[in-house]
Amino acid sequence: MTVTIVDYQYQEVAAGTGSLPFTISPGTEYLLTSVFLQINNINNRIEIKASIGWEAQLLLLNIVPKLLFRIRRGGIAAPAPVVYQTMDSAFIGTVQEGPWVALDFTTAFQHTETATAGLVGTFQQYSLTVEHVGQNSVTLTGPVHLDGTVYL
Amino acid sequence: MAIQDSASIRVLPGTHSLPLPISFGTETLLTSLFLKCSSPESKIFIEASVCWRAEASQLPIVPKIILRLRRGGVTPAFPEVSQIADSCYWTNNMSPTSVTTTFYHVESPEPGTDGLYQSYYLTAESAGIGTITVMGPIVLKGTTIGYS
Repeated sequence: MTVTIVDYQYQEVAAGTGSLPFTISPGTEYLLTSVFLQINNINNRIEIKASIGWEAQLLLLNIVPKLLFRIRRGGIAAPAPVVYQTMDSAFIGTVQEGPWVALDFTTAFQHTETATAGLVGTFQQYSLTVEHVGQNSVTLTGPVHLDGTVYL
Repeated sequence: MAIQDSASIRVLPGTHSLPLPISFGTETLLTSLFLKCSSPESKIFIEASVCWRAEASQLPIVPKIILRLRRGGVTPAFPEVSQIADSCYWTNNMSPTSVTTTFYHVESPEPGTDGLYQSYYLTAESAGIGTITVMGPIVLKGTTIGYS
C-alpha cells in the first residue's frame, strides 16, 4: 500500500526574529505559531512536530520554571480543544550556589492523531501555545519550530 | 505531494567515535547526511537527537551544549541553518547526568540545486561550565517532500 502525503505546512521562527525573544509570566497562555492542514479523508493521519528554545535565569529566590506546551486544533486559544500537551521544567540553581547566568533549554515533542468525521473536508488550524506554570519568568528565545504533515 | 528522498543516520552508544568529548568553543562534527532536492518547491525536513552527558564535578557546573546544522560543509564558513542550545545545572555530585536534546528544522532548497544532493552536518559545541561528552545515540534524519 502506498502512503500519500496529502498536505504539509511548517513555521519556523529563528532566534532573534519576529517577536523573539519575549518574556512570559505565569498564568497566561501565549500563542507561539500555527499551521493550517488540509484533511480530506477519514483515514488521514496527522503528524505534528515542534521544538522550542527557551531560557531561564536564577533571580533572588530559588525558582523552578515549568512550561506547559499545548497543541490546539481549530483555534489559537480556549475553547479550541487541546489535542496534545506536555510539560518541561528545569532546576536552575539555588540562591546559595547560583549560577547567576541564564540557562538555555530546548523542548521538542511530537503528536499524532487520526481524522474524525467532522474534520474531513476542512483546513484545520493547529496552534502551538505555551503557558508558564512555574515560578518567576521565562524567556522564549527561539528557534520556534512547528510542522505538520497529513498522510493518507 | 510525495517523499522525494529520505536519509537517516543513527550512531549507537559505544560505536564509532562514541563516547565523544566535546571541546569548549570548538564545533565537533557528530554526523552528516545527504539529501536530494528535486525541485525549488520542495521542502527539506530535518530532525536531530543527541544524548549527551555532563561529567561529574566537585563543584556546581552549568554545562551547555550548542547543536548546529550546517549546509554544505562542517566549518563555520558554511551556512548555519539551525542552532539550538540545551543546558542543565548540576550541583556538586559524583555521578554524571544525561540529557537527550532533540530539535527540528525545515527549509527550502538553495536556488540552483535542483536534482543535486545537498549535505547537512550536525555539530556540537560546549559553551558552558563543565565537561560534556556525547554518549549517543545520535540520530539525524532528513526527508525531502515535494511535488513529483
